[in-house]
Amino acid sequence: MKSKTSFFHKGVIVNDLKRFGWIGVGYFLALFLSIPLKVIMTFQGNQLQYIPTQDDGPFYLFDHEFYIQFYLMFTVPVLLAIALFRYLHVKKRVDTLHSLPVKREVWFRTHIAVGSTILILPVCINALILQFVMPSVNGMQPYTTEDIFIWLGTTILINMVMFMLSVFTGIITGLTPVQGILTYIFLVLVPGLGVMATYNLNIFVYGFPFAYDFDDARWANMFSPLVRVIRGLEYNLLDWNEVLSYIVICIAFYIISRYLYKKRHLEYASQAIAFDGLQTVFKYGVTFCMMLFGGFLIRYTRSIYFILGIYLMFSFLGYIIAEMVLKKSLKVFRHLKGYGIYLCVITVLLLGIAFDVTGYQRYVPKQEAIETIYFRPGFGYYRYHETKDSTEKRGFYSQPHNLETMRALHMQLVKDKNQLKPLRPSTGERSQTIAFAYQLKNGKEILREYVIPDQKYSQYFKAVHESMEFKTMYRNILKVNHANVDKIIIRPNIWYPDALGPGKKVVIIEPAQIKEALEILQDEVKNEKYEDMMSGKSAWADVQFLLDDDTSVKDRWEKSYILFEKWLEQNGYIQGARVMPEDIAYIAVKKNDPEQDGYRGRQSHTAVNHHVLKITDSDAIEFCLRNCTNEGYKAGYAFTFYSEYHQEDRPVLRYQYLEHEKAPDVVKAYFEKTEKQQ
Amino acid sequence: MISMKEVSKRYKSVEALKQVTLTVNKGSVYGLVGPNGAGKTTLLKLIAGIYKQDGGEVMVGQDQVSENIKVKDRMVFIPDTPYFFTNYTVQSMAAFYKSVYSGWNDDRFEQLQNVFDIDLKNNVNRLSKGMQRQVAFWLALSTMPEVMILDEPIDGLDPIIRKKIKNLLIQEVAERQMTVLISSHNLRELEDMCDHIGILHKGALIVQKDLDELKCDIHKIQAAFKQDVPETLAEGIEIVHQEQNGSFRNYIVRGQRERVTAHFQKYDPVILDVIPLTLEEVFIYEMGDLGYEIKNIILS
Repeated sequence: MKSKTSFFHKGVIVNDLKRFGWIGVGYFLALFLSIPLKVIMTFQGNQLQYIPTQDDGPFYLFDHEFYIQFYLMFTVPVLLAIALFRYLHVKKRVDTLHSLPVKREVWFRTHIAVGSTILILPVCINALILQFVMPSVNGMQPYTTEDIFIWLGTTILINMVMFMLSVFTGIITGLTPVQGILTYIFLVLVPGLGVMATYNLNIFVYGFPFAYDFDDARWANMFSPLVRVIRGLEYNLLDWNEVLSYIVICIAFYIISRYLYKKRHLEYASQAIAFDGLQTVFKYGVTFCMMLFGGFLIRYTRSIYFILGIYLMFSFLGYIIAEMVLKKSLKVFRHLKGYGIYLCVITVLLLGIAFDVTGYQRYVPKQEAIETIYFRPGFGYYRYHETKDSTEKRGFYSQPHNLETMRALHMQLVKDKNQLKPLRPSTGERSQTIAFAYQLKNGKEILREYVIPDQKYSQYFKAVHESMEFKTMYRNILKVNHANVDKIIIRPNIWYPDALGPGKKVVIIEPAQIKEALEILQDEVKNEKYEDMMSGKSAWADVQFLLDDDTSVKDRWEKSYILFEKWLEQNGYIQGARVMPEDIAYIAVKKNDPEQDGYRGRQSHTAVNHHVLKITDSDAIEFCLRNCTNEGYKAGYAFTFYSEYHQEDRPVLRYQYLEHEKAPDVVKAYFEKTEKQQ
Repeated sequence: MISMKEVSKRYKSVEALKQVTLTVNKGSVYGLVGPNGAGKTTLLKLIAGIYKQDGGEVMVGQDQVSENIKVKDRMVFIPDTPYFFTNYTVQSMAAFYKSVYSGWNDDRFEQLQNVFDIDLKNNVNRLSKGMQRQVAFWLALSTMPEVMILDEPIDGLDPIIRKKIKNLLIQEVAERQMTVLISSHNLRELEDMCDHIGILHKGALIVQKDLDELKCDIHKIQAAFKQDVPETLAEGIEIVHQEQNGSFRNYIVRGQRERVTAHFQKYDPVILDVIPLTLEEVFIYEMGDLGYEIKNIILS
């Protein structure tokens, strides 16, 4: 009874190697050709084009024919698992082999051992070759032994994850093609479901955060080595957490697969799914995923009937496909009871969402429970996760008054659900995405996101933007102490640095003046009104404070800061501090029709066009400088400012706009005339 | 040697075996007959330890079969289409079987080469179907099994090979007390080698018989009488079936041969013949009404 006690079966090992060893040989050759051979060729003789340095570091090995390495990682282990476990899917083979005196556990264990060897050994030999041929150029090594180990470990780990995943799918299915397809579906299942579920929930659940930062979602990496590797191995090595997760995943797959193999009814060979329970999971899983996929495809539609229609169509399609695969027959239309049950469940689910059974859509945290709120109108969750982890927490509010305002806004949005729900950027009305991220005192995080019309809720934004908490967060100048300032430099805000000739700027070094200027500017910032912040006018100038510790702080001089303007005038700095009418040779004015052209459409730099008005009058120029905004989405006129230094394509200011009513008379008159002529 | 107790097996909604109880003694050859889809293969695969029963008990010797290496090491299963690894020669298949079965006997293997006369270097998968069957037998017999489970192994083979294989099996049974369980959808195939027959129909074992007992117990009598058939003819013997063909009368009668002929002689028949019954006929008459129902099936 030699086979009874052995951990592995020697005969099966020899047989597996005999039958599938060539995969290992092929894998070895493919790796050898793409890495060690390349290294040898690169460093041979004096044909060096580029000498890799130590700085190329550990990334260097993955850099070599990365795409070949990538394809190998995601195909060789799958092919190998398919080859090793193919016998489970063919009746003749499964019967013959399982009548032999070898336990299922031993079959499984031995196949895994052989498979692992075939995947690991070629990598190890190549690592040895790399170590052996490691060249030395000018005393520098392009890679170190540690780099080789990192390459070795990472490659083996990803190989093993793919292999074990593929073994798992091989055990649960009875059809080889399904094994392959399921392997790759599982590979993207978690991130794919995550994206699709988010899109769909966003359609139905009011306030569900839509722009959730998927790049930041580490769980997606962990559950999908494919996503992880596509995001890069060269410049972004696996960290220990990832390594550990992958090892745990491998072990889990091993244990589950072994268990299922022992439980497997061998007569399920050639069935799509080899376990009755899993057949049900598969059937409804496919139905559900197809439904989500349908919702994902039409995610920008807001017609509820259209969405429900798509749900119905896609889920039915999914159900039918799953049934066909399971029954291996096209005659599945008679058994639709399961689909009826599915529809009932989904209807209940959707009704639950519609009536907000969980209270998710109504929920606004209580004031006293809130630690901070992250809030950046117009940005949604952009940079939320990065900001959370950084030291400078811009956008995180904790002052009670602000919290109150934001809660009030949130509650108002909850109230306005029925008006806001159909709003989408494409409806024509200008809208913005706002997000609330509550950090509660009990450590919980509450995320909500809404699309709202631009103007309707400005009273709330006004309260927040005029608060000192907001201003200290965003205005660096408020943190500056005059005692630390060595120098203030004011540079006019222009499109090209040399558009006004070289070096137009103001430098203030007199300590008393520095103190005065800083205090006035700080007061201006503190008193700045929300309406001025939102005026759309660009600042007159950038203001830079050079500090005594050799650092500097940058802020700006807005057009609404009249007191500061006066101070500059009084001290004779005004000429250098802003673009003056004298700096401008002429302004080229064109009609701006965003509906028709897209609002930068007509901005050609050539001033020869007869639809272009040239303004040279000093007062008109001053008027334009003072009043133009960057709100080009409003119909009116577009202004481009040129200096006498002007070169083609190098204006002083461009993309400046005024609406028709606000434009100077000379502009209105000219264009009214040209329109009449046409 | 082999015993099944109230074994049942379902494939989803289909009940493949219903409460099957069966015993095969050591050193005997048990023939399992039934039409396609009767559950023969299922029954054999349960005994071979490939499938797991849903209820009941499958034993070989004193042991459960499922996942039992000790039992499987003494048992060989030959499926209706044997499987050989791709690109394997007879020799490499033999090497594999040798590594798997502890009872493998190299001498026996070489000795059998003379019987089968197939080149060791042949790629097994390129051989004809009949040749592949022979290789399967060759490998199986070289493991010196105590039990052989054969799923329709000779159906569709040419008569010479059929004979050869039957002889080999009978020889093994006689010499080593090997136990054989063999299936066929054709009773005639098994007639000359089995000592027990079981008929499987729609998942149930409807009859099990010892052939020796069966054949000497029932007779076909052809007789013609000068006058009408005496009314007392049926008294004292058990007539299972009778029919008239012109003046000839055929009787199927149960009972000892001498006693039955003596009984007929008493009525002074013009002609009296005892005609041997085929196994099929025996079964059909034995099973009464059920026999007629499955007549077409087992005679196919």
